[in-house]
This record gives sequence, C-alpha cells and structure tokens, in this order.
Amino acid sequence: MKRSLAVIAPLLLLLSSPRAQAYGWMIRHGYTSCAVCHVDPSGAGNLTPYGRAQGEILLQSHYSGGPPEEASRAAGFLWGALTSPDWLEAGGDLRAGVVGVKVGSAAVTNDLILMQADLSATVSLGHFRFDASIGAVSTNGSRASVAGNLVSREQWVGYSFDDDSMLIRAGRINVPFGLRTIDHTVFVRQATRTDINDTQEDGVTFAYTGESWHGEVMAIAGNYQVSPDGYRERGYSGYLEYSPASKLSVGVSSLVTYAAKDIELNVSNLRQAHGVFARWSPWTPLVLMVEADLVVQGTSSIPSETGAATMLQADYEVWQGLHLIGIAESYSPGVDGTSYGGWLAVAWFFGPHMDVRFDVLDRSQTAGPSRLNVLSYVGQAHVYF
Amino acid sequence: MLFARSLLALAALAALQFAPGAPPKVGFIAHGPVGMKIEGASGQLALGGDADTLSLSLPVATLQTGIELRDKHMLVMLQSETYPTATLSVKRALIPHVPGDSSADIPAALTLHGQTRPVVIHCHLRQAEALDITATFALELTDYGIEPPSYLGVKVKPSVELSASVRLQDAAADIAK
Repeated sequence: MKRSLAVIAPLLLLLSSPRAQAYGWMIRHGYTSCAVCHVDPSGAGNLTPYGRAQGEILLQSHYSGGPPEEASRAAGFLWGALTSPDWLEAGGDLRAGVVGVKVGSAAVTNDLILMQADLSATVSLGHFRFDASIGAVSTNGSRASVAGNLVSREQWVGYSFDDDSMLIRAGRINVPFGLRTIDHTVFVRQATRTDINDTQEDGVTFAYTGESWHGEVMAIAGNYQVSPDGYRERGYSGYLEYSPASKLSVGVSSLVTYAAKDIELNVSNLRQAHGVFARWSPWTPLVLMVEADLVVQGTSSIPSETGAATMLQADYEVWQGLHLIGIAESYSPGVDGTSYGGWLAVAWFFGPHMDVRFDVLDRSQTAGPSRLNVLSYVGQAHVYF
Repeated sequence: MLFARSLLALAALAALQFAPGAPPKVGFIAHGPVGMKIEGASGQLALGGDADTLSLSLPVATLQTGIELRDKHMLVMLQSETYPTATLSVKRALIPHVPGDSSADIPAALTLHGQTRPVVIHCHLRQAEALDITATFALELTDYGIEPPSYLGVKVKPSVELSASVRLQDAAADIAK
C-alpha cells in the first residue's frame, strides 16, 4: 500500500501547481538573497514595497522600447486602488489554470483548478513582524488546509534585529531547504517535502542575511494543520548559501525529521535529506539552477532506503518578462529504479503583477517493477496584488 | 644612486598611456540593507595629468549597475549633468617604480560631485614591460555632499568601495614599435 502511495502521490501533486513568487533567477540582476524583496528572508510569499516595485521594473515586459520608468501606482496593493499604511504590507495571489495528465496509454484527463486564492498581510511594529495568509484552493487534502478547501499556508510572528539582517520567527513557516522555487512539483521539492505550496511546518526559525552569506535553520515541531499527532514530523531543517560573486551562489541543506506515522507512508519514518544547490547567471539573460539531494527514508517496517533527487533548471529570458524554462530532473527512491523528468515551459510577465505560464512535463516514473510514462501540461494565469 | 633611480622612475612615468589590449576598468560596490549589494562598473577611464600629477578621469554617466532605472537614480544622486566627471589624482613621484610585484598605500585626491577630498588608495603594482596597477579605496558619500539614495524603504549605506585597474606603458615605447 505504501508503495502505491509513493508512486501515486507525485501524480496527484501534478494536479496542483506553482504558487506565490519565488524567483531564484533574480540572481541575474545581482539579487543573491531574497530579503530585500520578500518579508520571508528565504523568499516567497508577501512582498516588501521594494519587491512590489521590482515586479514592474524588472519582471514585467516593457513595451515603450526605452528604459523602464519608475514603478507606477499599479505596483501597490490592489494595483494602487488602496494605500496601506507603512506598518502594513497587504497582498494576495490568484492563480488558476488547466491541468491535463496522460498516464501511459490512458486517455488524457483535464481539470480546471483554482491553485491559489490567497490574501496575506504582514504587520511590522518596531522590531516585531506578524504575518499570515488565508485562501482557498479547489483541490482537497491540502496539508495547509484549516477547513476543507480553506488553506492558510503561513502564520508567524517574528523579531527582527541587527538592522534586519537577523530574524527569529515562530509559527507555520516555509521549511528552509534547497532552492526556493515556485515549481513545487519538481522531484527535489517532492522528495524532500520542502515546497512553498503546502508543506510548511510549525516551528521556530532563525534567519541570517548578509552580503556573502545567508541561511535559515528551523526547529520543526510538526504541521499542526494535520492530525492525528502521529503525522507530525519533528526535527530540523536548514540551508546555508554563499555568494562568492554577484551572480553566483552555492549552498548546502540538511533536514532530519521523525514522524510516528508518516503522512505518505503510514509507518514511522526517520526521514533525512541532505543536499547541495547552486544558482549561476553566466550571462544576464540566462540563469542555471541546480540541486542534488540525498534522501533517506528510515521506515519502521523495511530497511532504510537511500535515494537521490536531482534537478537542473535553465531560465532564459528572451525579452524582459518572457522566459523560456527547461528542467531536467531525476529521482531514485533507493528501490525500483530511477524516475526521470523533463519540463519545457514558457512564462510571460505581460503586465503589472500579471503573468501566464504554460508547461509541458514528460516523466518516466518507476512504479514497482514497471514504469509509468506520465505526460502532462499545465496552463495557468496568475495575478498578485 | 637613489636620486638617479628616482629620476629614471619619473622619466618612465612621464609619457604614459593605457596599454593596448588591456582596457582600464573601474568599479564600485555599494551596500544596502539585508545583504543587498550593488555593483557598478565602467571602462571609460581617461588618463591625464601633467608633469607632476597622474590623473584618471571617469565620465560618471558611463557607470552601469545592470539595472537601467537604478542607473538613472544613481546619476540623479551624482548630479551628473552638473558634475559629469570624477577624477582621481596622484603625484607621479609617489608611485613606486620597482620591478616585479609591490604594493603601497598612496595619498591621492578624489574629485566627485564637484568636491575634492584626500583619499588613500591601496595599490598593487606589477612592473614588467607594462605597469599594472590595481587600486582600491573607500569613500563616504556624505563627505562629497552626496545624500545616500533611498528607494521604497531600501536605503543605500554611505560607505562605498571603489576599485580601478589599469595597465600603463610608456607612450614612446609604443611608438617605437
């Protein structure tokens, strides 16, 4: 049974798709860390006013042919319809699309999906930070669910100090590990359960952001939006990233958790992931991102399985706002061979805080002694406000 | 003997030019909050001066940080239309002229934003067929009457690090070729 779940779970995950902003390829502009644009110093989620402005200045296409002008009022909350006070950063994401999956020779199944309809807010009072999001999705069973299709991915309080270079947080927080990317269904994010979609955990984190070094470590207390308690993983996770040059960074990650009843395998599991990752922009239009993780499942009923997940992503910005994306990936769970995947995607940030994206994914996945060919596509529209 | 060496050194420095094939480079690093680092560069240095002084002049409008809007903000901050040039001047006699590698802290003067202030530049020199100089120094924007820019809550710190690398050779030697 657990084998079946292990095989099917990634397919089910394909039925959801990227959320929020987490664009590691911003390193092409010399942004090696995320904290100047995001409230979360490790990236994703609510934006700072500076981050909102970059959404217009650097992300979206400009049609005048001249150099970009100042960020317009549309960079503000609700495209400038409302002005929030300095102590409040309010925002939201709406992402919907169509997903088609073809498994083997079976017919294509198509679904319309509301991937994300989140409202979020961050309150800053002196050194204190308060952040929360609430939203809805059309899929059932999200680990961020608070009731049915109502989800809350993040809720945390924090204390910032040393000129905001250090932040201590407690609450439900994105697990710090590896590349923070919106492509949450890639093998490296699935295998390590460290995406920004719904695998946040409750716990306490410490983040440091310097010019050359930044990182975050988390003491994980478990996801208190799932029950019973046996499902909750406890342990630690963290990463440390070093930037020897303005368009190059390398990092290491480590995670060890234990759950009495693993939420995917239904047996006790001492789960480990340890890996390396890097981002490099050798030429401004091109960013290469790579991650390789060792993944260990120490379940109670079978010997430990040591596998590996890898990913190489190339982001080529043909014209400002228009991205061609290619991903090659693999996942070997330690038994039953290796799964491979290839993605091709085009994303266009066509307007102020508006983008569309179309992905085609071709995966050859292990399924016990046999293999499954999974061909899928995802077309989506996204606005953040 | 020492006097004779100094005379030789001065003679060698008297008619310098940038060596062909080794364009000069100048760069800066500014710092913002939460690990933000802004790097800028230009290759448009001009060599000048007189019998006593060697000067490097930079049209500040040629500095680029990789983000056009940020460049525009920088030129507004520097008032580049009023003060189009930054100039670093050093007494020729203070430049060491010894074969091989050497380093020295050399007093100089930087004119920026229309104001001239003394600076000490840390130089690494390599004297072979040409003279390679890599110089670094730091400045405080406020010393030059420049208000550090702030953009949507992101305030640049006043301390800025500058660097320049040039390869100089005797103009007469080049002509002789």
